[in-house]
Amino acid sequence: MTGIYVHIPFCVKKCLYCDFNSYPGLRDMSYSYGEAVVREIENSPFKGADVDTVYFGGGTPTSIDTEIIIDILAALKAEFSISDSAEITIECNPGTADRAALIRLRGAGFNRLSVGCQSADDKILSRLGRIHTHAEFVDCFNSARSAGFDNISADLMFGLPGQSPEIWCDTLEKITALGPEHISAYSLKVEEGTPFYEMKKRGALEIPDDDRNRAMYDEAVDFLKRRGYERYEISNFAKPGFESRHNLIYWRLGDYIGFGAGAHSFAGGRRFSNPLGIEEYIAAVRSSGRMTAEKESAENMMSEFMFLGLRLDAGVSEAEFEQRFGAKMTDVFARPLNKHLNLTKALIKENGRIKLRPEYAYVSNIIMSDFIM
Amino acid sequence: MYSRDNIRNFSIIAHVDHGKSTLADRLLELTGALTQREMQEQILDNMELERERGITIKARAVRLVYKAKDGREYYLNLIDTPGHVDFNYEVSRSLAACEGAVLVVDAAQGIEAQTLANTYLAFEHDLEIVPVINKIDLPGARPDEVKREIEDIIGIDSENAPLISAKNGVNIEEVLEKIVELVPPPGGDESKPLKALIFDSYYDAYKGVIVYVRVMDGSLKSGTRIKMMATGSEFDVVDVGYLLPNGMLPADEISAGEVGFITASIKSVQDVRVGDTVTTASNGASEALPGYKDVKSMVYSGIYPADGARYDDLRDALEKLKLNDAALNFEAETSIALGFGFRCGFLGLLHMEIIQERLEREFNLDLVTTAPSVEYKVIKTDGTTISVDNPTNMPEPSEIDYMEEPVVRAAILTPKEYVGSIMELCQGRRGTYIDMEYLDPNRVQLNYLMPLNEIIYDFFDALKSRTRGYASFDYEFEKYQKSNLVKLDMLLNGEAVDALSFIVHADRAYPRGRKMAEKLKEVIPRQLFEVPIQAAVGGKIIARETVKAMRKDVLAKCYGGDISRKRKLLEKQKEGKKRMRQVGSVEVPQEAFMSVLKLDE
Repeated sequence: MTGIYVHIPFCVKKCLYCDFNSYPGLRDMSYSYGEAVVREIENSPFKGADVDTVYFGGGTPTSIDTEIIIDILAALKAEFSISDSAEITIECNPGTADRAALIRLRGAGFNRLSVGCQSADDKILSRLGRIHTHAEFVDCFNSARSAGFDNISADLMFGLPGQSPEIWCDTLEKITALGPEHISAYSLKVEEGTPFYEMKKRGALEIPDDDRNRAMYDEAVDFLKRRGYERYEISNFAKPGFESRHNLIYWRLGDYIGFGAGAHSFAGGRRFSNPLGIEEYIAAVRSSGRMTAEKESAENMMSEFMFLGLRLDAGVSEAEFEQRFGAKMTDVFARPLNKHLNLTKALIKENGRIKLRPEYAYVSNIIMSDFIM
Repeated sequence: MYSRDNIRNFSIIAHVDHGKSTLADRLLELTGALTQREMQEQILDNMELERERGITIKARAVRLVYKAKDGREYYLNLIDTPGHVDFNYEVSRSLAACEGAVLVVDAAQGIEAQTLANTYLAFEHDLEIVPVINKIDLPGARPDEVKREIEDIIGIDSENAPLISAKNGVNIEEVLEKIVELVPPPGGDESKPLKALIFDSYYDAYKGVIVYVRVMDGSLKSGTRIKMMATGSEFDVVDVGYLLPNGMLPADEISAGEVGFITASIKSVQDVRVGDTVTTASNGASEALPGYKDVKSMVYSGIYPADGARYDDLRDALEKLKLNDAALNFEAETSIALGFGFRCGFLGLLHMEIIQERLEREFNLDLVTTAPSVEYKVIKTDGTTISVDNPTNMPEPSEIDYMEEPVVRAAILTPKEYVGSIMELCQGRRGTYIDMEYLDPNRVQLNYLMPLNEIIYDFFDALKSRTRGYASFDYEFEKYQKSNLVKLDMLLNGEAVDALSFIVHADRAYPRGRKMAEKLKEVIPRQLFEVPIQAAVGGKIIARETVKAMRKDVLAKCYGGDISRKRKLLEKQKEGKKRMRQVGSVEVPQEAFMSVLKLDE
């Protein structure tokens, strides 16, 4: 089970909350960037690996020439053994992909689309600095459907400035009515270095407090369950069988290979990362500069196994832990397990799996941090 | 050559900050004892902490050689005294070793509580007082008024008191001349059996305990077998000699009237009690010098390592400090909340703070300390009496006939406009008014009997804030007094936390419990579940607060598989938890255990 991630660090305009590795207005560089990614793929030390999922993320992958994307996917298909049933996802934002482009992508092999919706409220969309309206999202969604995408994910955000519980419910209502197969719902997090951070600092950003934020999360879990979306991870919901296979790799501490600026890989117990900037990245590929690699310590891997796996509704398996690390989970994590199974009762043990009780999912950091060694 | 006529033994007494240490430095400098460069550090205060706090914790002594205007050379033995109420007994022993005291008064601030307390102590020892007005360079200096204050309040002639600036070295020689002129030479009889007063000691890793003495009668030389009259222990003297600013000067003998040191391969300061009398083992003195007291702890507190694995380090550190501090007592204790630690006894609050700071600074220990307690006497229904300095050890109410608590006599000096406010404060702290005297038209001394357990919380801070820092304060132990005391328990999530319990007067239990619950609510962060905080007396809940459950603490989106970033966030959070103690199911920040000190009543 190996996944491939391709990072496309271009976008039309940076949203006010965004701290991802993405650069607006550099579309000119996208061709040489695409060539560099292809070259990185061709020189990859992991060439030939069996690949089960491919994910093009960004930035906004659809903000650049579709042909660049298709060339990269072609290179992946040439150099890796991508299974016929592979999940191949591309992220897209409304207003950046017309029906023709979507048809072209679908035809090239993409079978899953992740669309940035965020909110169905136009006022909120504009306050977030998004470039689209809700109507444009609906257009995009319908185009994707008609282009043959039968596995679509919609990204939603809550805890937003100006977002009342009613507005949030309205968004949930409108999105579920469209019927995407998968929904992710993340709380806004005001990250350092973003315009929102500066606004918050000078008191110009009013966002719901933790209590109201939590109420929105609980509402989402209930609402989506009623509409047939199961919460399989803290912030991810899917109709049965449509869980994101690519993201599951991360949470299960599986192997993944990243290409592109700032992309991370985790393979054979080693972590790799690429240079963050577009030009640095291109230069590094041209000079055959290798990605920086570090061997992950066993302690870190065991901690990650726990704190990533506990994000999943299914939790972590004791047998799998022992098979992977040659040590018993109950020995390595005796203290935190005892604390949270017996004292706080935030964890439960069922059929050899340790799980987070659903009501503690949204306060999981305080629990997960006990699994850091 | 030894001649008592040209010896002067004196101390310097002053209120904190009035410039005692600076004057001592100048005296050393002027008598050529030290070079300018050596003077960069205040020699007498040779512990880092003492310098920072501007106070002298342990007494030290030094011999200065001064050629006076009369053409003769004098040996001036300066015996430094600790400048704080916690060390009153040590001050009194230092004064007992002198014939005179230089009284330093700040030209701007005038007489303060400790000025008076120390002056009265000096009077008790019949010392000749040499008044000196310091800080005449300050813009607010009012030397003439301060002179009058000294005459009116203390009743000593200060007409010719030197007006000095120790900081700028102005008129220092005049002080030396006054010492020679006013302080009488020591008396004593060399031919009598040896009597030497111990006024200080410290532990040296090579020589063992170095004993600082003032020889009253007789003389002492190396090889003599000596006996400590109070403890009864005997030692063979290795060396005797004088105390110079830059070290010890061995001598053949030290005789009546002189101040010096003894080394005798003494392993522990426990054998060398301040105030004890040194005599010869054979044909020694029949009677010890008066005034010896067993030093008793007044304030107790539990000290625990923040990291339980450092228990042994904490014990080693306490043992090292004890080598030099006979007033520090400790014994192992266990707390359900805090694990293994030590119950420590101190002379007072300052002593406690100093020890805690030294443990943290010099031994690099992270500590959790419990609220200080005093020593209560519990008279049980079976007629026996026990002492309780740890609330955990208080017997069940049914076993208690009655209890007694220590009461101190407190003297507060204040500008008169604050009298009302201070009386209110003292009454609120269960003080009993004794009397009030006007020291001058503007200043008042208020005398109160106060339970010590009301002072050890935040009395100093409350006094300072009510008087904008103008009032000063001094106290001494008076007696044990019957009192209606109860144990106040704090419950977190329904479980009593031993380290948060304290003993309090029944009338004060309710407001204290309420404040304490409010304070804990402030310092305990939200947890996975709602945490009720309750205050209880004898099983009855008297106050309740709630720490609401945490609502949101979750990682944001993880993009492109950047797991290390997430791990770092969690690592940071884990790091923050190190300041927390797991008490039952609740995580309590370490400062919560000291909250009772900051109730701001």
